[in-house]
Amino acid sequence: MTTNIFLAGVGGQGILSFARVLGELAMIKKVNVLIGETHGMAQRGGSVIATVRYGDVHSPIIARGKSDILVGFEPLEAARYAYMLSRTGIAIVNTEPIVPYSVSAMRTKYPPVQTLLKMIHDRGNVVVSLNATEIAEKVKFPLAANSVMLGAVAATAKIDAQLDEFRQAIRKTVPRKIKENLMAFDLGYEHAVRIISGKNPESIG
Amino acid sequence: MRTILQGKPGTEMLLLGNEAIARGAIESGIAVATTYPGTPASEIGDSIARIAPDLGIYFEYSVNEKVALEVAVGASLAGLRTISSMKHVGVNVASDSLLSLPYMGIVGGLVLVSADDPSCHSSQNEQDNRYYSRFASIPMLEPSSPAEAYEMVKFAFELSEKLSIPVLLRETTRIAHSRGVVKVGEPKRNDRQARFDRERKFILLPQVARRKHAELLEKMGQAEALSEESPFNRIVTLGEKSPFGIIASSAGFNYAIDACKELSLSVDILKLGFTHPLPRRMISSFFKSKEKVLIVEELEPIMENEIRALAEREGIDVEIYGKHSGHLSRLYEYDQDILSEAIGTIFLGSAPKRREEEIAFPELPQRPPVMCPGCPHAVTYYAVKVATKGAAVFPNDIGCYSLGAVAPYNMGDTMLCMGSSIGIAEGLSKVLSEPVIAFIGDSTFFHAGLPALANAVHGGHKMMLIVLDNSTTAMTGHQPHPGTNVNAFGEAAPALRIEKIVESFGIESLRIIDPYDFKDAVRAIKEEFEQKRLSVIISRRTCALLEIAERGKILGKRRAIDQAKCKKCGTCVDGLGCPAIARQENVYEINEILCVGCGVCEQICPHGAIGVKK
Repeated sequence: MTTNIFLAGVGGQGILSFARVLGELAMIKKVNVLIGETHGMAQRGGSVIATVRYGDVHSPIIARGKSDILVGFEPLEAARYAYMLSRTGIAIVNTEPIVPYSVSAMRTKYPPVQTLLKMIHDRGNVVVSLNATEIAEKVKFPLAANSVMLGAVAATAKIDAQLDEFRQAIRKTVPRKIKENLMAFDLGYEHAVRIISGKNPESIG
Repeated sequence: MRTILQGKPGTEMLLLGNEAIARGAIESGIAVATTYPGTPASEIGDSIARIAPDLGIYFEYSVNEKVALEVAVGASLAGLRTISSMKHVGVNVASDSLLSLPYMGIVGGLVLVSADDPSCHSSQNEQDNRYYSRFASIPMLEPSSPAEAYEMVKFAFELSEKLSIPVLLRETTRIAHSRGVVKVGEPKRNDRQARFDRERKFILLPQVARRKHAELLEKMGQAEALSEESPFNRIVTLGEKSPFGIIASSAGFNYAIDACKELSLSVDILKLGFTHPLPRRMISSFFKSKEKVLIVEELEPIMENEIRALAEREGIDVEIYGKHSGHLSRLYEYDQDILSEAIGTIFLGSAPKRREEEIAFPELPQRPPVMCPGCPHAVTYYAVKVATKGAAVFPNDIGCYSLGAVAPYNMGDTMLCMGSSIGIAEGLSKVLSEPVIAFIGDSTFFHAGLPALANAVHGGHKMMLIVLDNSTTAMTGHQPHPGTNVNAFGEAAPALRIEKIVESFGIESLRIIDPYDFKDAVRAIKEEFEQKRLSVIISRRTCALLEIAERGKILGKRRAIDQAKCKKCGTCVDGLGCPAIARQENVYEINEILCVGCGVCEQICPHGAIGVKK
């Protein structure tokens, strides 16, 4: 049994820290884990990816179309890597865009967020869209946005772990404001569960 | 802060490949560790730097890789264990020392780590440093995982001392920057007394060197015998007994085994980790039960060439596949998809279908790396552009500021290797009639710029050199260099002042500018530009990321654009090029999350439309 999680976003969004939480989760569960990280020049505001793989795997790189979860920290980056998702894969997408400099410089257009989400949805994948920063503001700590995203990841039920094990991983890896991060995690979880179970009319998944 | 010391002996840690190497080194009793930072090697040095004082290790970010290796050699000759790590092109800088070092020999175990970068993720080339093992005649180990990197570095010290020559530990980006589970042991303090034996001469006079070369070849014979017995060279069997075989090393092994499992292929994989010298007897015997063998190694066909030669010499009648058969490429890093296709084609007659082929996506806007909001380099480039109208040739160099080569600055006409901007500028300025302006960063200036600048003075070259001094080695994670007033542990250290060096070279036209004082910077550059002589401008302003990290807050008040005053001239986007300013459908807005409050945009807006965000 292997589980592949593909993380995509922009340099500086805390993607490596996010991967570390998922790594810690594996240590708690005592399952094998491999994480592929991006360091160096790409971290300067470029498109950054990380991969997390659980189970009997040797390479941190995920084969095309084999990701169980795509975590898009930014909608354009989520769409860029939608091809990594498997048929049954779920995309968790933060809807807050970061306009790349190339768009400003070349006077091109940043695609409408709804279009980006639809591109993933049209592949047949469930899309959980959320404005993680706005949700994190409810716990008065916008930097907990990634904990909101992690809550949504937990809600996919694609990772074989209890919610308390996720919470334990947060406690072990998040350096400060643990209470706020745990609250943010719960909000992200609840938001995503509503969409995945199809009860939310806003769901496009 | 988490460090590599925290894992208690016998426990499992989740370590980056580079952290695993560092942990293996501190469990081997190293006394000295050196490096020059460079992706993908940087975290080895950074990890050791954080814990070196606790273990009594001397660690330094050396001025360049050649000096890093030589400092390690010095400690090794006094009998202590040392590790020197660098990126692949850094080994080129160290190569003058490296290629004669195995003749000279070492005393304390010396491990050289080369971090190669297939696909040029953060590099100017994808050279294959496995050639250095052959070039220098030194044993080489190649890990496939962080756990193996940890084991190998410990063995490398033993091997180095057994043969009295350095050992090359060669990793690639995908190993260096993969995080995996490593079961760690006990950190070990150096317990040896440093002692230099003057009776043993380490002198490579020609008559000595001739003898030493013969001795070195003998040592490599011993190394091959050790390679034959090494547990790092082993057979991994998947499924039933099979006439199919794969010989694989490094990251290539991982992709191969994942692909074979995906395809449910029965196959024997000869996984090689001790890859120079190759275990030829082991390889010959592996071939005995096989009909088809695929050789998997990223980049150059080094193992493949040697194995094909071996097969021919021994009359082995097996179909050999790899790069020469056209199934694998000499270009870029591999992945499971590439291996699934090659393995499927060779052993099963067809390749698996990929979902990507089924659903095509429209083009999406690209997001290449950019200089950060508040980056002083970006401001300097814009100042140079305003002052010179771009009417010069601009040799550029290696660092964050390499991004000055792209829009909107377009001020990098050449970018070759560390320190090259100055030498190339000298050659260009000698033969061209138009002005030549070279750029170099502060860390790069010390690394390889000094000899070139000496040459500029003595050769009478008329060019302008702009030293982009952000007081750190920014690209690789803010390491200190000889121009900074702290060392690797944050302790006070003597700082070499670039202006004092330039003055001592006899260069009279020297100016120091602050790019954040934009008008003044432009004026200074313009005045110097008109002089047409050898001149140096030091553009000094601390890296915005570093400054923010040290202050714990942004540089100043965030700015905003007054839409009523904005004339949509584009100066902020097309000139300054701050990535915190977005232009969508001709509306200019400052992203308040990205803005760091440097205030430069307010200075350069010709219509006074930018001010402090209310």
